[in-house]
Amino acid sequence: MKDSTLYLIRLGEISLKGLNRDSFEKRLKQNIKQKLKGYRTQVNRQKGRIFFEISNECPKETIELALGTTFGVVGYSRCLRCEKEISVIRETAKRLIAEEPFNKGVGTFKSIAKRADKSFPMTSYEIDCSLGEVVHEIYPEMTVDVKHPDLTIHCEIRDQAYLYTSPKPGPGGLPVSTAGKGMLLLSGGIDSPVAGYRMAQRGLKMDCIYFHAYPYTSDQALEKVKTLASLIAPYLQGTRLHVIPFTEAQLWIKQHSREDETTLMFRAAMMYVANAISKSQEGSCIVTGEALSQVASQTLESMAFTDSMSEQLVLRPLVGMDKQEIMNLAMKIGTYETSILPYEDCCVIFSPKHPLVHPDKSVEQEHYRAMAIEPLLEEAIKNTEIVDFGADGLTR
Amino acid sequence: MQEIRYFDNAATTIMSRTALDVYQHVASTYIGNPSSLHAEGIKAKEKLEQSREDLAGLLSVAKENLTFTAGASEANAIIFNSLIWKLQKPHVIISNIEHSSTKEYGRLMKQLGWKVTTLDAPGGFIKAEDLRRALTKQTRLVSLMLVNNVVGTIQDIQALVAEVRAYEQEQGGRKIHFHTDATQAFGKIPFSLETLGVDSAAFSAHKFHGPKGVGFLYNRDPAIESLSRGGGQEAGLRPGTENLPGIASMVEAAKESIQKFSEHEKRVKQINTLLRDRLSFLPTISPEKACSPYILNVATNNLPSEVFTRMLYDKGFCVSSGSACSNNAKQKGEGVLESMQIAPSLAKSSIRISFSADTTIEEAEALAEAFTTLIQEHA
Repeated sequence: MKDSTLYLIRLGEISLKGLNRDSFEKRLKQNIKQKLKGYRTQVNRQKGRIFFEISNECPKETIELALGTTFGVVGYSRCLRCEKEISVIRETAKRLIAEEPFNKGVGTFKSIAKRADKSFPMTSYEIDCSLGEVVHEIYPEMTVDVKHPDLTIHCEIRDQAYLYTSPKPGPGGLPVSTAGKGMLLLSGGIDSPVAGYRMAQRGLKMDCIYFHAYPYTSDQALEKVKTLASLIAPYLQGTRLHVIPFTEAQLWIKQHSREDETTLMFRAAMMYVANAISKSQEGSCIVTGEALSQVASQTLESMAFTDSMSEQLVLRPLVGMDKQEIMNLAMKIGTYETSILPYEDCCVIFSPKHPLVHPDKSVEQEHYRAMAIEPLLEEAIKNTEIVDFGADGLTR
Repeated sequence: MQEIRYFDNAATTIMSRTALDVYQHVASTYIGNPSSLHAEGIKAKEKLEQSREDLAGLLSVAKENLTFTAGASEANAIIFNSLIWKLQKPHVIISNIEHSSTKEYGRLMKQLGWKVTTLDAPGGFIKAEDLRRALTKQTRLVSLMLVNNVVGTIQDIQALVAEVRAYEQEQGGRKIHFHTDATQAFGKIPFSLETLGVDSAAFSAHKFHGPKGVGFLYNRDPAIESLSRGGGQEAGLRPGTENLPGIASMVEAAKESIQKFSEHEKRVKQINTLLRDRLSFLPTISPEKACSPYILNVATNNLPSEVFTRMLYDKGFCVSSGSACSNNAKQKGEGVLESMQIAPSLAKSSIRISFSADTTIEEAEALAEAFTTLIQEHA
């Protein structure tokens, strides 16, 4: 393809797949293409690698977003392709190291050659030695360190020779939409965006749901959730945010339940709505950011109760994680700064002073049924506001 | 679009038409820099000094004692920053109900190793005996506000100054600087800087229908020195090219405020009384006596103030909440109310209604109506 740059994408877990590997690779290709929409691309799949030729019209940031946020990509790098002939390979290597990050000419390096084509006359070690020599000729100050090099130069002998330097890490995991669809309960806190990220990493496609209780929670809280949805949208390959007007339901619960069980009743009502919406969107599971014993509604008994109120499977990817680990991940994916903005998702007026910590599942189920809240929830579902976010994070 | 009825004048007032006209006129007519030596510069300098003289006349103080600033926060900062020069680290007294521009300095002073005493204000009033007890031989600055911005209580600054002066004499005359943040006082309560006896006071134009981003410092203590450095404007206390349109406009707003003081006060008192009466079913936090008629703080005792503020805004009313809805997002107002020993349930549901001379009886009636309806709906 003319006027284009070649990118090599390294696959991790996908390479271990058996007969269905093809479907994973196809999905990965589609997911990357979705983020490069509007630019010419050409794709060539080879064992353990996907080669993407991307038009030079495509901005660097778009490529970084596409390859850096698409699950299934373990690493990627700009790549040069040439004839499988050592003299040509050496010349190509010279062009490659004339550019970043080698062009500073300092520090340590290592050459890593791999032969998929074993008929190539040199061994990997011999190729490494030859390329090491090239680097030395041009940057005599650079020294070899095979254990902890600052930079690496790679050469893969396949149908042709492919050369690249220090690959950038991708997010790993499996391509989104290879594991079905679910509904993420997005609250505006630190945990739920991370939960969404973790499930998307395992290939789950997700819509998001947010329960808005204006004026008890502010419109800024809703804006914050929209921002969070837009921040995780690239990882989720785009997402649909369902905003549920929840004020009437919360007031009903406050009036019709015992103070210490209000939070449990909210969770049960949320499960009802999330199930209904997930089903309508052809989803088959609910994802929450709960972590064991973080708050009263996240004890074993409380989670058992909310589970019992959901027809669909409830997934809690953070259940065994430490808060600091969750925060670190939130920082890594860029949601932390938004999550800590001081607009709460739940007003103190609805939070009991002494919530029930070890509820009895069947008793709470009975209390929930006695509230007869479902007509109100159906009404809320009818009035859902929908906001769509593309894989670029922008609203549609 | 919904009609907006504005009851948040303690946060900021709407600029008066005359002040706005003066702003535009001065901005387009006085084009020079007051420091420039050509005729346009001289003309601007004359306008600046005329404004200072007019303001001094309104306050009955010497014009040399007035420094134009970017507002009261900056005026407070000049006084506190001045102390950072001191080699020793003596003692400062502030109160718990001060505006954050003072309280934050208290915190900074502590970090820098100063001793800082923060006086409580039960019911919204700082007690002279508490101040007296807090004074030490090392005290160099006392900064207490004249009118509290959350509930409107008026401190007896004259009596508090008298305590400090008496202590100074007992200790052989070593000077203690007395500063007051008078932001909520100008044009709203009668006072004389001379009678109060303070060494310095801070003011903001936008609280009396002037423009935002301009204010002034009254200071008669020659020991006050700026931390900022620049072109020597404002006798070196506030370097930087003067905001002449803002200053002239502020002085115009000040003139209007002072000239129509009694007329405005009468109208606002009437509105205050009407609302106190109509909202008598709610606990009132602002006391009846020694309180600015321009501020009325009430508690719904039911809904968090942040929520009630939103409910009122949906009906077209702008008010302020004294506290935040969430536990971990405590706002300044709540801390002030806590220090006044107001019950937490009242503090968390407190609403500040603040008036201006433009507030009408009809608007007040409508606000009372909205309060009543909302409380009935959500009780």
